[in-house]
Amino acid sequence: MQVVGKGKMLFFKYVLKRVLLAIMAVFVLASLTFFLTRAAPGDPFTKTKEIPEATMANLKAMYGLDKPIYVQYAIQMQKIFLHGDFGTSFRTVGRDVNTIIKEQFPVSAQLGLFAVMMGTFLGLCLGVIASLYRNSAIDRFAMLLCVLGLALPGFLFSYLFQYFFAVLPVTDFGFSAENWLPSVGWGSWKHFILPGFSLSLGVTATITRMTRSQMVDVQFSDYVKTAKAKGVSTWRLIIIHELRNAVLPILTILGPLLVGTMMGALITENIFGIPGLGRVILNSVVNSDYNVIMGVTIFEGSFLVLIILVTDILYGIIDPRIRVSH
Amino acid sequence: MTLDAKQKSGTSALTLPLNESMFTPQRANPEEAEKIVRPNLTYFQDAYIRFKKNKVGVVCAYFLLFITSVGVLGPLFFPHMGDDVSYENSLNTDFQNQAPTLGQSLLVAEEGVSSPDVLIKEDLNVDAPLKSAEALTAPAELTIQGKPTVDGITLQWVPSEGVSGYEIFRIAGEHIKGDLADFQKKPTEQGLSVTKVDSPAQYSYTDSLGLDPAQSFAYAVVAFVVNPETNETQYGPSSQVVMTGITKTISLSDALHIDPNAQVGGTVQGRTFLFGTDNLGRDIFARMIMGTRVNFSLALIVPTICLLLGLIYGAVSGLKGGKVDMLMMRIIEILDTLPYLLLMIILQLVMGKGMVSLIVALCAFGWTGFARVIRGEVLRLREIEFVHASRLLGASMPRLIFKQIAPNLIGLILVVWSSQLPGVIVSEAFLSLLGLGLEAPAASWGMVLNESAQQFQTHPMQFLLPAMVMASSLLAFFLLGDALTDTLDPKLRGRG
Repeated sequence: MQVVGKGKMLFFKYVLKRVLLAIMAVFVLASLTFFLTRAAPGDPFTKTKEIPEATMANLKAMYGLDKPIYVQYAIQMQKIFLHGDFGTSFRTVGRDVNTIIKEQFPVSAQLGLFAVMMGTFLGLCLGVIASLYRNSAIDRFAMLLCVLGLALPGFLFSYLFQYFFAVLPVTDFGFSAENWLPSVGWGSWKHFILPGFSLSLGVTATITRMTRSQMVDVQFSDYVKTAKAKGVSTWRLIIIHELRNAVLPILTILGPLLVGTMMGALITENIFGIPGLGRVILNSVVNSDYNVIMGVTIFEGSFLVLIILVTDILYGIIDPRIRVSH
Repeated sequence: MTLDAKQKSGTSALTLPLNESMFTPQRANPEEAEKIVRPNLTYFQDAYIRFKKNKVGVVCAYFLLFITSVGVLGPLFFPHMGDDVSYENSLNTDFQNQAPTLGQSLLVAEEGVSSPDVLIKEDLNVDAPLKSAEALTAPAELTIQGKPTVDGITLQWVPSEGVSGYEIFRIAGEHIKGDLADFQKKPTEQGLSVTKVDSPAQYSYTDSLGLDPAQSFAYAVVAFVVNPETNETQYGPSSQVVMTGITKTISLSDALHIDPNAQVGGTVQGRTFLFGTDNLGRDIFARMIMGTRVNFSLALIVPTICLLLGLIYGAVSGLKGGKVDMLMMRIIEILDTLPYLLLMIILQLVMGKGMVSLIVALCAFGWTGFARVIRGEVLRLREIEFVHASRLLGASMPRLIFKQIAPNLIGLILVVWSSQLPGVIVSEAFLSLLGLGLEAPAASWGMVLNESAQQFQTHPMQFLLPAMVMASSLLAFFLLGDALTDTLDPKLRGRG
């Protein structure tokens, strides 16, 4: 009884620690973003047409920008954390930041999810095959692809894919523009393919590498040797015994991988004209649209923190040693 | 020793020169056994030997050295480069958007040259009765006369009787090959009407309408009849389509700079643009060389700064231990969960563009990795016996750090340092592609890529060549990092 109790206590302590850290992280993020954006030269109104002094003063008063910075800070923090209200965008008057996020975040999330799912699937397949035929031509080829996928940034592939698979077929090879893959835009399943695929290459590379090394490790373990000795058939061996155990560490990186892909998709979203958060961030940063910057950064940051939190907890469940060492 | 056939049966004695002395026991000589026969290798000598065995790493190292030397020595061969990337001919519209060229021949033209005269076929019966629209045939033998230049493209065809005149259509563009078939079928709809010749006897025309040297032009001639009652113009079938590019010309005054003996009608060697020019007429290769200096110095500076910060932070955290260590680690964990990309963008905005701000932005979040790894190693090294022994003998903290712990960290430091190199270049390109980074007219690889990417749909080579350079350098850095890891990481040493 005592041991079980202790185990549970450890787990709760671990979870509590992680949650506290997560909350602190979000708070630090919010404050950092606040002060950084205020420190940037320019403010939301100077970039537009010449505004007479009086109007400027009125605008600032309306948005509460004339108060001293600490008061603004307190107000902003209150609004965000107590009411979940990020305010309205300064540039496009009346657009709620919450609405903007609600509309455009799902787009980025869908794209990111698609890229990660496809990348994981391909990565698992390639990794398993490479580990089974170690040092063969297939293995070398897979490793080469990995190096390319890891070293080269995703946006490079985005440009190339867009040119070779969307633009060139239409201009030089006479494919009809409607039936073939679109080069920009969003809305149908076709729009997923090119950007999703170019983003998934990095994911594929990471997962292939991990899968391969994990599978190789697992192949030498005792339980696999036992299963082989028992005469388990190859397929069953691979899927049930080896893959299941090899996949554990991969599960734990999927979360951060998703967030990393979504953030790295900024440029890809630009290239393919995808109405996701990337474009929102860029425009708001260029225009010093404080509320939008705050909103999006905190939202994505919290999303990241949440994913890491869930991952950590998951890892704590899977591997009890982690709870003790932390 | 040879054994004859008799030995196999084991009967006769061996015919060997054996004697008693050969059978004395070979005892190990303890002194000889302790001798160090091989030369004493230091850590780095050993690492160097092992590194050389790694062929991939060696190739990458040479490749990167090559690129670095191009970056350092490049300006010697490109005297037009300065810190300000503006050369003679920059903003010269004649040189915009050129494809890579090895100094092609330029036709020296007279300034203000007039078009060749229009040719009329004298013996054609201009008053012949007009054919009906269905009877119209395609004008034959459409050809291009002379060398097409920016000043004009001269066309000729075979005139026929019984037509009201000819209309010349044209399509122009960078990639019109795919459109030629459609153009041939319906030139009147697909093409731009360049001119309408009202006399059936005229059989030449010089087109000088907006001739862009970067484009190709395709022409088709169509005969037409004007129905006298309805005044309706009816077109006949199209002639064969001819396609051509334009020979670039250079004015005599400019040509004289290159070759003092230049004459009108002769040719001169233009400048070599290995990667072509961008849309402002700047030599892309020269910009890439400038970019090499920027990027590689970033790649050297940023990981080094991150290393120093991380080293201090990690070493202090590891050596102090206890609550201080816990606190410092919590800070790092919080920093790690922040979306560094977004914050990097905002940071760049706060500090404006420029080298310093770029370095700060890139370093701001890169040092946590170093700190973690170093702290781990320091924690491990702290407990090693020789450190304990030194402390027992009364060694001070600084002595411990510099004599015992630091030398063991070097390998790890090199490994982590080299793994950061490609990331720096990618981050710089990322920021540049978003419009942040360095201020124009400076050049960095990211900026070159950014500008060529905007021309990508029309001039893909402008993007592809610099992209290939960047991609291969990234690959080289990555593989070099891997090779260094294999060489220096003590944990992998056993596997060799």
